[in-house]
Amino acid sequence: MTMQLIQTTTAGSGGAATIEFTSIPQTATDLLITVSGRSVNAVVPDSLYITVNSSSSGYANQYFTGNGSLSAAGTYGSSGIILNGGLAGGSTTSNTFSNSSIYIANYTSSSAKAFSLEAVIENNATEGRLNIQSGSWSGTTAITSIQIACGGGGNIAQYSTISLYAITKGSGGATVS
Amino acid sequence: MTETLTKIVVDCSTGEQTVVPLTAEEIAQREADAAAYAELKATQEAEAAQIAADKVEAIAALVALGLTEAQIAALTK
Repeated sequence: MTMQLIQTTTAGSGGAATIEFTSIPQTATDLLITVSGRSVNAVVPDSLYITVNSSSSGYANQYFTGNGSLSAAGTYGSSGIILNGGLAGGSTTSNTFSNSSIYIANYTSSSAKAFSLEAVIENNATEGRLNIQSGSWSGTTAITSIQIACGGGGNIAQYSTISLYAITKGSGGATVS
Repeated sequence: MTETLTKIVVDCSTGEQTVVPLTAEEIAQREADAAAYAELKATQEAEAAQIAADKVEAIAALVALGLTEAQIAALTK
C-alpha cells in the first residue's frame, strides 16, 4: 500500500465557509482526508459537513459519540456526511484544533461509497468529544470532488488545515500525478 | 456591511488554490444544511440526556430491588 499527498490547504485570514477539492485524480484506490480544524461558532464540538461531487442526497450516517459523561449512538440520514466533533468549536480552549479523519474506500468504483470517520476534540475544560462514525453515499459515479464545510453554519477558522491523500493498494502502488 | 462568504477551491490536477465567493444557491444550501444540522444535534443531545436520566432511575430501581453496587456496576458496563 502507498499513501501520497494529493493536496493540502490551510484557511487564511477570516477562514472559509467551504473548502473544496476538485479534479481529484482517479488513479488511486481509496482517499483519506485529514483535518486539523476549528470553527468560529460558539460551541464546543462543531461538525464537518461533507459532500461529494456536489451531491446533496443519498447519504446515510451512523454515529457513536461521547463527551466523558454522556455517550450516545444512532443513525440519521442527511444531505451530507456529518462528522460531529469534526471541528473544535469556538468555545474550546484557544488555539486548539480537532483531529479528524475521513476514509473513503474505492472512491472510483461504480458502487455506493463507504466512509469511515473519526474525530476527537481537545479542550482544557470539562467537555471534550470523541466520535466514531460510518457513512455511505449511494451515488454510483466515481468521486471527483469533495466539499467540506462547517456543519454549524459558520466559517472554518483561520489556520485550519485539510489534507487529501491517495491510498493505493498493492506493494508497487501507482504514483498519483 | 455583510461579510462575503467564500470557499477555497483546490484544483488537485494543477495545485492551484483560489478563493471565490459562494453563489446564492450555495449560500441557500448552506443555510438549509445548518438548520438541518441544528435540528439533528438537538435530537441527539435530547436522546443522550434521556438515556442518562433513564439510567439514573434504573440504577435506583435496582438498588431498591436489593442489588449491590458491584452487581449494578457489572450490569451497566
